[in-house]
Amino acid sequence: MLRALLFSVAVCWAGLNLTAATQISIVIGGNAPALEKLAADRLAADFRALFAVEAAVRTSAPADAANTILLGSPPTNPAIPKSAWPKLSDQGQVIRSTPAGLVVGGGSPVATLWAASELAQRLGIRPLLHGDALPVAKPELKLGGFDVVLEPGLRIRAWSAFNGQPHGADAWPLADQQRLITQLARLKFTHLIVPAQLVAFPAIAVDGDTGGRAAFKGVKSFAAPAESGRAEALARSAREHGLTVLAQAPADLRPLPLGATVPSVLPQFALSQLAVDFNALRNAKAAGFVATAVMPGDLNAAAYFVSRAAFDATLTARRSLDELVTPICGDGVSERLWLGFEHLEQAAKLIAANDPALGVPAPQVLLRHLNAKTAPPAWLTKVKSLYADAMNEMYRGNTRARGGARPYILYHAKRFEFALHYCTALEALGNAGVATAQNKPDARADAADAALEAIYNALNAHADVARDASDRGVIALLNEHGYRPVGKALR
Amino acid sequence: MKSPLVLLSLLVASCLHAEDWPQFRGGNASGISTSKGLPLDFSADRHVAWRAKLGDGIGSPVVMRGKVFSTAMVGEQKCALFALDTASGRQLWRTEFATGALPRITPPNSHASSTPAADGERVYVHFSTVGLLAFNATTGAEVWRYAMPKPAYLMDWGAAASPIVFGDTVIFCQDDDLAPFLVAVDARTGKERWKTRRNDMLAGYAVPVLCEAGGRTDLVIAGSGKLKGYDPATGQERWTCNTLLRTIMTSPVVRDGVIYLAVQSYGDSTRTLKHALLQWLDTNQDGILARDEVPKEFHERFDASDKNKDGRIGPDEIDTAFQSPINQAAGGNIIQAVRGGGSGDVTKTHVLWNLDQKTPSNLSSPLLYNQRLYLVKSGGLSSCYDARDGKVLWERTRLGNLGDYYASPIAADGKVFIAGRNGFIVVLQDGPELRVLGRNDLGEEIIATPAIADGRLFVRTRESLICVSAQSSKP
Repeated sequence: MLRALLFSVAVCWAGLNLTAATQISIVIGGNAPALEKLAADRLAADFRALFAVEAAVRTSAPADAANTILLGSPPTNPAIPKSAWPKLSDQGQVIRSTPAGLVVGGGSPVATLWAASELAQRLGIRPLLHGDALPVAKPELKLGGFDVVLEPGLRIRAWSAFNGQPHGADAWPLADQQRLITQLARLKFTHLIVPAQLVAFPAIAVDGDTGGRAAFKGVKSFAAPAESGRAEALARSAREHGLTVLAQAPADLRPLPLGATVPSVLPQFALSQLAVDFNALRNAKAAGFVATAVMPGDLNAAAYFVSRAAFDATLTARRSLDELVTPICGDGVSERLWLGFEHLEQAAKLIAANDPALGVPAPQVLLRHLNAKTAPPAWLTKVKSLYADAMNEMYRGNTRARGGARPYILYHAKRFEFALHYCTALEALGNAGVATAQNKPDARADAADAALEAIYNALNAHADVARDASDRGVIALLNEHGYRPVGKALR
Repeated sequence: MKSPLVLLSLLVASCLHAEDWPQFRGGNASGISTSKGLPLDFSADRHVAWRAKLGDGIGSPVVMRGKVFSTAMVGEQKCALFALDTASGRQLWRTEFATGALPRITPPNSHASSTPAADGERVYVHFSTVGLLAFNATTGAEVWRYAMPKPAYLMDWGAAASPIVFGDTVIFCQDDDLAPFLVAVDARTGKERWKTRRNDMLAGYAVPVLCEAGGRTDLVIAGSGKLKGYDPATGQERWTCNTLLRTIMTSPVVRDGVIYLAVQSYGDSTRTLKHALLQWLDTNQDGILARDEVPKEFHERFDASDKNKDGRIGPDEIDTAFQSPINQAAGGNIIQAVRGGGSGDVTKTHVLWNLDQKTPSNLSSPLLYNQRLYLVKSGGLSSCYDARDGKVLWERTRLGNLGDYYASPIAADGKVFIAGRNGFIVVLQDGPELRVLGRNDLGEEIIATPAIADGRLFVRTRESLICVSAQSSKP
């Protein structure tokens, strides 16, 4: 009873709204584990970014409890009052306002890291896979009023992106991988799948007449990073962020594709279906999931959903998107993105039903449409139309997100534009094939011209927003398997 | 009275620099240089005299008296004007200025988008958040600045207009979606000479050109729906030709008292601004513009247009909410020759010929060279017309270099140079038939129109300035 009363007092301690001149103290234990130190440093950086305040990490509690965050758990940080500590599993997290300060901690050091991330997210920061996005509206700086306790519904949350292809994680340099690991930790993933041997795919020339070559910034070939010991360094970095490293996904865990089920270069994620699949796992009392990812740039909404849904059984895909987008893009944006993603989901389902390899890079990925000598199928035209609709919704959202995270939306807009041009190219190749079969050289020439231009435009659209090795890998692969051989065949 | 020696010096100096390129697309925005001996076969490694890394920018370089000037963003809120020696690429000076908070723009636009203008004594720069600035051409010291309202764009395109120098005035046209105007300031002091509102205009980027016809010089500006001639001494409007399209991003060219335009504006003759607003700004797609769907810079204008004060701009209000009721210009394509020197409304009297081919670009301006009007648009589709009567010489023919074209064609020594965004510069032989002489790969994105002066080609890539010359040490 007394404990409940104390908590009520604590929660009502709407602590004093803090001013810009405030100094925030983040108190950790004198022997705090490395992950808790990392959590403290990260939280300090978040407070500086959010509020332009001074935020210092220290090992003793200051007199001013109103400006104090107590980080860790009672065993690692004696400043945390045991009375404020709920019963937690090793993955449980707590954020609770108390008279001694704001308690941010977890049932293990990594859970404390996640709790710090949770606090940042509740203040409006959104962890995207390439880095954090800050909220459009600066939140009120107050440490009172928190009473959050979280436990996961699925305890294994693994990330798998290595697929041996130039657009898979195999192509990512270590520095980019480490940045991604930081974000995966922010998103509370527990495992990272890293093959013992990373694939060194053959280099692809990207100079001269190369569509989308701006993405390569003058580099003349695209190759796997020549970094010795990359897998080991990657594993070390993952462990430093609390992730367990596995060489392959556990056989008893079901893969949960965040995007396409095959290594497609096309944007093919399906948020509603993902929510259905996720709930099925939860209802089946699965131990967890292995999130498989091909194009991380496409997958922020999907990764955010599984991250949040693992701790919130009531979360829907729609609400998850709202919660991801609105703080960083402003009002009126997530509605457009949701509509666009619905169009995309329809396109993804049509592709899966009719030609799952439509966007899987291979030597014949485009040429087979020319060689088929059949008119483009109606479903492909429908897919193209859906990508166009999705793209338009992204541009509307981009227009609306005036002060917000426009690059996040623009990436999707350009990826859908890429897919639109890609489908245009396939249609034109089909028409060129038909014209060839019918011995109509003028029609063939026109269709060939349209196909080549569409491929080129697709690659340039993607290059406009290319930011990681998966993006560059797609562009390199589609030059190698698409633009060049098609150009050669048609010319 | 100047001594004969001084006069001789001035004469020599003026002869030495007869090939200056003082503003966007050189003299009167023509895109034509008298330079000779430009290399036709060059690349990132061949015939490059020098290369200077400047920073992000898409404004064109300008050349005056042996110096090439270019702007770049060099910090989060910092722009710089660079002066380099044309022959060696040596940096002569670099002057930075603070920009303040930067506005929203749409890629691939850059905040350093405006092309400077130079008159030998000073270099004039426009920056959207600052206004016009003048710098001493010798030292780089700031001489004056003339504050202007920040331009506002309904679609967040961002600023990209450029100043010109006429006599002792600097002239700048700021056609935005909010409060468009044309202004002339004293080149020496920065003091305003005159300012003319262009209230019936929408956002546009045409550079003003001068047209000598009928015994006088007109300042001619292509704007939304209208080509207008002004008295350059007073800013008074002399004539208007109401034959243009809604969005004018290309600049006209002038020869022998005739103004030539080629421009594409999205959509057809029914596509007024309303359609774009309802497609893109009406983000909830309910067919009505709500106040929070409009950028805050336009809220006052929104309120004025919201006649029934219901907080929304509905079907009865939207036609004239942001587009003048007397100028409901729409989309389409035009290639047009308009005789200068008129008075009043010349719409029915001065249009010499008008074509509606789907050949103009919305971005790349036409080139008039030896009575031929050259056009290029996305996909490397080139077209050419006889400027005397609009007769087609060729249309929509591939240059063999795909992709986008933001830069405008330029010419010298019987050759036409066309820079693609992909970093290739296609060289054509000037003539009545399309003849591609070369496709030269500079390896870096090109948005800015290159400059030609002193037998050199100056190419502003997204990050660098490259000087291409037959005299380079790497043939």
